[in-house]
This record gives sequence, C-alpha cells and structure tokens, in this order.
Amino acid sequence: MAKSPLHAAEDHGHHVQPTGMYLKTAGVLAVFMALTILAAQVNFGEIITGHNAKYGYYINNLVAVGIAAFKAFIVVMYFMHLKWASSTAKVWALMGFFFLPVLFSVFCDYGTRTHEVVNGWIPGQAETALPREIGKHDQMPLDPKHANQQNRNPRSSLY
Amino acid sequence: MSAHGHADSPVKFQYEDIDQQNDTYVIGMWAFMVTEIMFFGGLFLIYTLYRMNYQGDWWKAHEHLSWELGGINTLNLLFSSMLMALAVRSAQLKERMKVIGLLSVVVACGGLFMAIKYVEYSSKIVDHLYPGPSFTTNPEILHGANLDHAQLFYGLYFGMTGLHGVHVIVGMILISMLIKFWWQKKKVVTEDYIPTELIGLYWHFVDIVWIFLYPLFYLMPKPYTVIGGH
Repeated sequence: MAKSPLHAAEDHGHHVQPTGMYLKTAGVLAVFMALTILAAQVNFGEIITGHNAKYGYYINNLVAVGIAAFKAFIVVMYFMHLKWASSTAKVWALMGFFFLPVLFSVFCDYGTRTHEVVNGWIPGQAETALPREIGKHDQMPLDPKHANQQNRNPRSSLY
Repeated sequence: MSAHGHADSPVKFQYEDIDQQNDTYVIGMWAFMVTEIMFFGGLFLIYTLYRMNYQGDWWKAHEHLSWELGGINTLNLLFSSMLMALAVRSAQLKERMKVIGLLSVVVACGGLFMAIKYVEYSSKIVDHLYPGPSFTTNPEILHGANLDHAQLFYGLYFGMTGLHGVHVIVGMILISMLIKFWWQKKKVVTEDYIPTELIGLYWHFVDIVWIFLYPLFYLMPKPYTVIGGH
C-alpha cells in the first residue's frame, strides 16, 4: 500500500534540523552584532592612510552594511530554511535582494551631479543651486541665540 | 492509497503531495516578502540619499540616540528569531506544548522590543525631536546639527523604525493567533508545520530589517567633516 502524501513527507526527514544548528546560527549572529558595534568605533580611513581620509568613511559604511548583509544572509539561509528550499523559492528570495540594489541605481544620476537642482533652504542661498560637495552643507552656521530665525526653514512659516 | 481529496487530509486536491503544497506556500510567502523588501527599500533609498548630503549633521543628530538600547533590541530580536526557528522545529516534530512555550517567549520578546521602543520614542518626544513646527532648536539636544537636516534625520528615524515597529506588532498578533490555534489543537496548525513556518518567515524578515536599521541609525561612523573640524 502506498504511503499517504503526509507520511511520505515525514519520512524524508530532511526538513527537521538539529537544535544545535539553530543555536550555532544565533551564536554567529551575536558575534557579528558585536563586530558591527566594534567596527563603528574604528576609523578605517585613519588606519589605512594614517590620517582622516575621505574614503575611510566609505569603508566604515561598507563594513557596516557588509556585516548587516552577511547577517541577513545567515538568517535567510538557516532560520528561514532557504538552504533546504526548492530552487523556485530560492529564485524568489534572490529576486527581492537583487532588485533592491537595482533601485539604488538612481545614484548613477544623483551621485554624479555636481549641483543640487532645487533651491537652497537658507534664505540667502535661495537663488543659487547648492554645490553638492559632500559635507559642504554641514558647515551651515548655528548660532544658539538666533537659531530660530537663522536656521529655520523659510517654509516654516507655512506651518 | 492516496489521501487526495479526503476531507481529513491537509493536502489540497490540486497538489501532488504535502511537499509540493508546502513549497507552493513558501514561494507565495517569499513573493510577499519581495514586496516588503521593496517597501522598505524605498525608505532605505531616501535614507542613503539624504545621509550622503548631510552626513555631518546626521552624525551629530544621531548622537542623541542610545546605541545601548538599540543594541539590547538587536540581541532581543536575534534571540526571538532563534526561538521562532526552534518553535518551527517543534511544530515539525508535533511537540505541541513546546511550540506553545517557545512562541509565547517570542511574543514576550516582541513586547520587550516595543517597550524599549516606547522608552526611546518618549524621550525623543519630550525633547521635541519629532519633525514639525515645534521641532527643537536646542543645540545641546541637536548636538550642534543643522535644524532642517536633523529634522530629516528624525523624520526618517521615526518613519523607518515606526514602520518596523508596526511589523513587530503585526508579527506579535499573528504569533498570538498561532498560539491560540495550537492551544485549541486546531487542525490547521497541528497537522502540518507550514502555517507556523510561514509566520516564522515573517518574523525573521522583521529581524532582517532591524539588522540593517541598527547600524544605519545607531552606529554611524564619524564622518571626516566632523573629525577634521571646520
């Protein structure tokens, strides 16, 4: 007599993973969480070039996002059982993580423009397009005494 | 003898066997999660765009967040994810009381997560850090950041962690329903593990979103514009 479909699946047994696998996965994730906290305290630009280089900041960000991506990969493969899933399920999972970076291709345009095409926020700069040098906008003044007038968005009056 | 079409079989008539049926459910769940990835993805795009422009001010504004509380929540979600995976394992082995026990702790972890979020949000609200006309102008609270750029930062902070928080609450409701069904020995959950697995997939997805939110909001590296001074 043929087995019922339900029992056939139980006999495979490949779905049930040992408890230790889940504990190990959680351990790896905890270690990488500690690593990401440590990596945020380190200035990679200083280590690599000896001074605070611009690219050190990018390396820091790449390390942070890289660790997060690795953690996500571990969760997807082991907690979400993608490692043992069918090829079709794998393709679907991959699709989401493939099209997300595609969304970021907008930076091909935005990241290479040298000027902001919108008006500035500061009244004096309202007629000029803002130069898009990274960090340039950080230099805007903040005088506590006049913070309200000086640094307010001119559109605040609309509120 | 095949169990096809039997009222007492968990295998619906259009499927060959339980494996094919479960695979279909898992693919459907992943299709849903692709839409979720794109949903959060748009917000991550906005975040990247403005962080690129205002990295110095965002770094200053981010100093007001507590990386310790965020870290506790990261560990908390990681722990709950592990328990969720173990609950699915118990569901595969049909260990009913273990499933109920593990899922209850998962819901408690979700509750702890939201409690910590409540503490974090209320301290920000007291400091007038929600975007709008009453946004704080106190340089101590802003850590010297430009007001408009800090508003953008907090707008995305509340938007992204808030949307994530909504997902945590939805997850808690779904898992509570699972617990109820397991408790009532409802066939829909007891005869096959897949409903538990699907809700588990959702819970792990919520964990993954937080894995990215935590370093992006709480652990920003110091930009060279801030280190170098003006």
